[in-house]
Amino acid sequence: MIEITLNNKNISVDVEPDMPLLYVLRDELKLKGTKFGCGVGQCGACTVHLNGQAIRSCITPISAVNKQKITTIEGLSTDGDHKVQKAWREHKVPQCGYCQSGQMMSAASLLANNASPSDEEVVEHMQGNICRCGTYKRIKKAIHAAADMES
Amino acid sequence: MSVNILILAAGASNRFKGCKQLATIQGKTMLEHTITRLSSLNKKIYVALGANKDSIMPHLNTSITTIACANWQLGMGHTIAQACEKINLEKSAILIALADQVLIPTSHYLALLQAQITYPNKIIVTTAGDKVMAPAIFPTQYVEQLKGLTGDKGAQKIIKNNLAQCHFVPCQKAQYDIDTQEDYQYLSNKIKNEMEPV
Repeated sequence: MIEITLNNKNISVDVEPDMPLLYVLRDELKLKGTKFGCGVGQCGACTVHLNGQAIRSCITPISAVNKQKITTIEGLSTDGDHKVQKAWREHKVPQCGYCQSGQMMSAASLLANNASPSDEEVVEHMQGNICRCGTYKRIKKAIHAAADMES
Repeated sequence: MSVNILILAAGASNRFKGCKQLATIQGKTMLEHTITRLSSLNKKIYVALGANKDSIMPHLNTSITTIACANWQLGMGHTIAQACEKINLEKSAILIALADQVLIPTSHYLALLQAQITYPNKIIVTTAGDKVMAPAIFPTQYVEQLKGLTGDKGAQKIIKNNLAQCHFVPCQKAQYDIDTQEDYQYLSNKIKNEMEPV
């Protein structure tokens, strides 16, 4: 049995220890906000937070996060009002939207550690999240806008 | 502080008598196993290549940045120094990992990263028993020392000179690396039971 604190709730799951965290979230717990992209930890669509840090859930075995704190896009805020989510709406960031929960989770972890990142720092931090629609310019704008918001 | 990842895979694997980086375990090369585990961290990954560079390159995903270390023959110190010159580490820490510590689980790399966030100014070092070893995370203030490394000596020297500034994260599985064909056979068998498949 593996126990995690998921979106501030303590839960336990009875799965194989090597099952990727992403599969536990989507298939066992039916939290579909986190997406399956490449499945090999290269695209960032599956980004969630482990103790506040952005990690890729598709290649993280559930046993590696046992007894730790996981946050998914569903738990980023109670009413979709995290400043990153607000900025994303304001700047109409998504196009097809598939990668965007991963993008927002990465952006939120960046701002949690660095309240006002430079352009360069945004690019460096977000390099692991790929968007095939090419919404990068709006992502960058939205991150700066979120950084400027009162939290 | 952000973190960049550097995987050292430049050696000629003389004692291995073959290209160690491309030796497969469970159908995946050792280097791929290491990359997969480190990819969990969502940080930029650099791979330092030297010997066998041209045969290794086609095996790497395009999201991996390779660094050709012309001085690899002079030893691991030179490889680290040269790689650190090519990565922008002005404001960022560097996690140095080896391609042949194949038993290290994802959870250990995640624990190192977690420790780095808690102790951003410390060197985060792996221990097994009473030994200090890679993987380790060096904050930006140690980059100049990394750039000064030479010869066969890796970053161990910096760790040993700054023990009071280190935070240690134990991982018994880090002690197993692959130097020889015997190591390879031994660990291949061990891995069938111990390594987490991804």
